[in-house]
Amino acid sequence: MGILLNKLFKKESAEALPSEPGTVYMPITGKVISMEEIGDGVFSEGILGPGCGIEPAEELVCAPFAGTITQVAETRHAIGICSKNGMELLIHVGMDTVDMNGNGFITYVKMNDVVERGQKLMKFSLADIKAAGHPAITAVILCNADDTGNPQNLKLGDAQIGDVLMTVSQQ
Amino acid sequence: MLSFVYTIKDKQGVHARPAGLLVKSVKELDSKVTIQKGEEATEGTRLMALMGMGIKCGEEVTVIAEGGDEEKSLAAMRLFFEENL
Repeated sequence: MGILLNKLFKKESAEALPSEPGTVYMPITGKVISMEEIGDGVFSEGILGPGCGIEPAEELVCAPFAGTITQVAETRHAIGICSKNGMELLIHVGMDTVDMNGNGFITYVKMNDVVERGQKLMKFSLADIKAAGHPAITAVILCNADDTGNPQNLKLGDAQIGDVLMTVSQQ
Repeated sequence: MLSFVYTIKDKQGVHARPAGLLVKSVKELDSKVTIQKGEEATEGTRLMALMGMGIKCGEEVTVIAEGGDEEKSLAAMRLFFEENL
């Protein structure tokens, strides 16, 4: 048992990817779109902050950088994470998915957990979101752009977990 | 300093959408607004902190306005909570 645990632990450690300060990596494999293309008032108008949308091609959410979990919605559809140098990012899976009351969502982290870049945060069911009648478009929002400045170098189009999504200049 | 106590009526509580709208309306005021739940408190401009408080339906929050036109700010907050939460 001890050996097994040791092995598992070592495997996880080996998988920790470097997380460059000010870099946001893709949290979900899919197609990156602009805020405007999200097509939802509150998100598209940037009321929660600047960022982008992702049309998910897969159903897994991984940490976009090394940091601390600052929010896990009770309904499991949204996760907040803060980087060591203060980027606060919200990953909100699907639109109006709050009313699914957690059905179709599994979270692997809790408030205040310290996570590595690429660590599994959440799994969701595209079929369940569709069945509930909601778009699966996921909003990736920088919540404290007042402190950090707007995200830059946003890369639109198809990308995979771990690709660079955008950068945030640290002021 | 002026304040009021409000019981959340939105069945989903303070989730992303209303929290974003709340931050937006607080930023339009000239008072410092604090949202307090039990012993936890956060500035009304801190979106992540607000969502992190996990304020649920039926829970009481205290909304505090300090500085600037407190009466006007508090009236705006009261209206916001009644319309959105």
